[in-house]
Amino acid sequence: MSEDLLFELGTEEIPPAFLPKVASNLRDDVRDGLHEERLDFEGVELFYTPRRIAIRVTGLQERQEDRVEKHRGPSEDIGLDESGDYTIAAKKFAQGKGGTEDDLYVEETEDGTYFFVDEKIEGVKASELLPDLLASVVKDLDQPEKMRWDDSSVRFIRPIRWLVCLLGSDPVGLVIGNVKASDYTRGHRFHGEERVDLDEPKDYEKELRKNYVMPDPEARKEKMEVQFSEIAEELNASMASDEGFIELLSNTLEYPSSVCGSFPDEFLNLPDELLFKTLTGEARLVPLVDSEGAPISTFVGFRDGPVDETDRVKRGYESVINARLRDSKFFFSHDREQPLEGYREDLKKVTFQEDLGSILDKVNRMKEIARKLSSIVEQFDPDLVDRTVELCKADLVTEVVDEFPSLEGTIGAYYAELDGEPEEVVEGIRHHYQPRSAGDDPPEHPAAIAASIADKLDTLFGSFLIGERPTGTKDPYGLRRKTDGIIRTAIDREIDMDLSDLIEYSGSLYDDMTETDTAATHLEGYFRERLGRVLERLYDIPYDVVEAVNLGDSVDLYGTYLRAKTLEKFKNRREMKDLVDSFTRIVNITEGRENSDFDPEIFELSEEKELWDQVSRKKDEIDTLARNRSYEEMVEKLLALKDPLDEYFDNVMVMAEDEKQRENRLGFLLHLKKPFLKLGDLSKIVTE
Amino acid sequence: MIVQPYDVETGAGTFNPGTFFGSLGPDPLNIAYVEPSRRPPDGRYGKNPIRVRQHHQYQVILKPPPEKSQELYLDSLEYIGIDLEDHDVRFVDDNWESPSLGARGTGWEVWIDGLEITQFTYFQRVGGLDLDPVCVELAYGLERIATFIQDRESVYDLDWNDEITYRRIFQEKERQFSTYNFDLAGVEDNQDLFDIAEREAERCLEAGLFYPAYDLTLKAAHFFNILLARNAISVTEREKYISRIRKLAEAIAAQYVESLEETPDERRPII
Repeated sequence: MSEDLLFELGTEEIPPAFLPKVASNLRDDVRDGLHEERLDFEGVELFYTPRRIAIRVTGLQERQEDRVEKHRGPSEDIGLDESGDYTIAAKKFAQGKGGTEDDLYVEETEDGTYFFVDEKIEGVKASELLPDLLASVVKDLDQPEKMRWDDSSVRFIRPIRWLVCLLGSDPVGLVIGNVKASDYTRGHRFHGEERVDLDEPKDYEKELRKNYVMPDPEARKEKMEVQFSEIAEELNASMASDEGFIELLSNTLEYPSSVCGSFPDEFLNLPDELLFKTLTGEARLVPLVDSEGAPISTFVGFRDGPVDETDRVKRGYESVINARLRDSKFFFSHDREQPLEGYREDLKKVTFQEDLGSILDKVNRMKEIARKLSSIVEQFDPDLVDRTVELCKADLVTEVVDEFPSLEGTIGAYYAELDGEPEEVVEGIRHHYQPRSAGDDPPEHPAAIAASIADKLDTLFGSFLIGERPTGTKDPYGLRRKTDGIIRTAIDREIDMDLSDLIEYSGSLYDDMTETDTAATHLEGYFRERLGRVLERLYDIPYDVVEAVNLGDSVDLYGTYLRAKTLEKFKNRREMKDLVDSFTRIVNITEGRENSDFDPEIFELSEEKELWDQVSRKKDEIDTLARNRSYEEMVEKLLALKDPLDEYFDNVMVMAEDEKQRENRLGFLLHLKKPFLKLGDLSKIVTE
Repeated sequence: MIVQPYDVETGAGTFNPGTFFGSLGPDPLNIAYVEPSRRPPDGRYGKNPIRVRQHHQYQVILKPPPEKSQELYLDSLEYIGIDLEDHDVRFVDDNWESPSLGARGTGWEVWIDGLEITQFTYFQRVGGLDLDPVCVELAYGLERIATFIQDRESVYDLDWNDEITYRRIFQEKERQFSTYNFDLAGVEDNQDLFDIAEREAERCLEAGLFYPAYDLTLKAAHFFNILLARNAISVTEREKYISRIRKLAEAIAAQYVESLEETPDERRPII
């Protein structure tokens, strides 16, 4: 026998960003709980709106299967007395498991012969198991935040106000905190009945729909998309926000109905990003663009409830968005009273960090760092980089950024464009914050790359200088993200430089500070640590290769990456394995040795001479290849040393009795190590 | 219980002792008052139709929260003439936090047709202490509600009564205070005033006088707000100022709660 189960958790409004996750966690935990209780079922359906999460389990077994559990009791000699009768211990054991001495049987085990008894366990009804199961799932549910709302010990993302638990047509007596389950739910807050009786779990959607609740999130989203498309098609327009926006909106309401409104055309003159941000931000309205991608003065909103017959909601939306757009326009025109350049001076009034001066001080340091960078890296045009850095923070003191902080960079770029700054500068300002997060791309425009590196490096150096370093658990200034940002930018945009030069240069910009050397050393170390992690996690470089290339002598971000990719590629080649073995032998045999002097004239054996001949002929080539970062060719050259190396180790006794020979050979081998190390410490490579 | 607005500058109804102390004690309490809330950074020289340096909150604390807190709140909107069925009323998640009071709560902004009219919060923590029982705070934005009901686009066009508009009471004040807060206020002087208020609050705390300490903390918070408006504080400095205020607020909360435990029921302060 099986029945359907409906479990609904009625809540106050759950935040839309968390709702789908909380709901699916609840479903998964109920499913796992049923498995643990050995209650079989056909399927689980999930429903949610901001005010409810519901689970319908179809074909739920009404009662657990009876089962038999085998228990081991006393050993044979303890269970039987001298006359072969059962002892008290044996009898008690059988009784304890619901049987009698007649149920006892013996079996051989690894530890000897023991008495056993099979306990018959009768299945428990689902209706008896469910109250505890569901209550503990709710109480232990993993959620992004939890709160208290009454004197019960229950904590949940938002207050739980009602519960429905129906098994077939029978209510299940479930209590969570101060709330008792019933067999009726609630309709829409304003448009439905306060009490909606449910005869059976399968009536759930139908009864709720009559009461202006669409509990199926997909159906809700689809209705919104259809409504939106109807309006958009009529206007020959399309959505100017990303697709996730409708889904987010669909989790803010129980019964969506589109509301189409408009705003005065004058606001179309606002920068697109500002216009869209004003609409989608707090107002949560969907902006539209025409077939050319230009914004139009119509928006689509979604009200929670039936169609807005009286147009009152539409008028309300229009009046609110009007006020917001007027605000945005005011900020914008106020900002445009002077060119972007004019805001630079005000940056002096904004403190970057108490011990590190104002934002203007920071910008001036960034300029120096960027200049240095332009002198090292060919891609950068020094004048354009200079201008980009000069202007990139100016929008921080504009009113638009004060109101919409996420428009920093974007609005500065827009203003720079209006001021007639070069395109490269405009794009530099726009993208210099990138990458903002692990999922964000590094900038592409050279000026943006230079400004981005200078910006992040200045923050990092300053923070290290005043002792604010990220630790395993604490990183309040997002320094780790900035470090990884520089690393990813250098790798993805092929910025070929030794960052340690730039780090040291950053230190020279603080004339009244001591300890800049220590800060530089710590920061270099931190970069190397992060470089290893980033290579492994974001670029999928195997651990051993990372170990081999991430050596502690420079912060050569792009070069290290190239060496890693090369080693990764060659790692599993047969000849590579031999090369690694030979190199490892060199490392082991020369361990602790520092003197690499040797004299080729003393070589006795032909294998020594041959190896020396090969090495000395290839040395310059290898050096050039390393300098040009032609690592693959470099590996080919090194691989060519494999045979002479094998011959060498097969025939030459390095630890010769003759001290002079021994010293000469060890010095030679140590010398031999150097070209390999330009690629990496191959002894760290784990070959198959 | 209805109490009066507090006569020290506060940035929000939450800072009125009715909420700060009222939320902390163990005794049930339903309290309400109108609070003129002064936020210097929000001023717009009297030129913005909806943004003002001083607005009015109708502040309600319900401790412990009734089961039908949301319904009670919505009934109150109906009571003042808003027909909820004709509009789009939403509870939009917005967890409230006042780092300077060491306070936070879980809740929403309440929107009507996209207009935020109330902050609805289940307080979880105040003065660095977990509340037991918790309470619900309703902060009605009176200017917003009035513009909605009177269907005005600008607060200055609101009728205060049959004869007098909001403009005549507040617009010139907004202009003058905005000018002072944004352009004129002495940065060093306000920093000094902050330091003095903080020192005096500490002096009171040493003597176990947590009520005067609280007034002085409010003053410090106000000077801090002026410095914010004056754009004289960076993000990191801001954190430091906030933590200085929080330190005071937490010490006050601790002294208050301790004193409640020592006071017999009939004399125990309720706010």
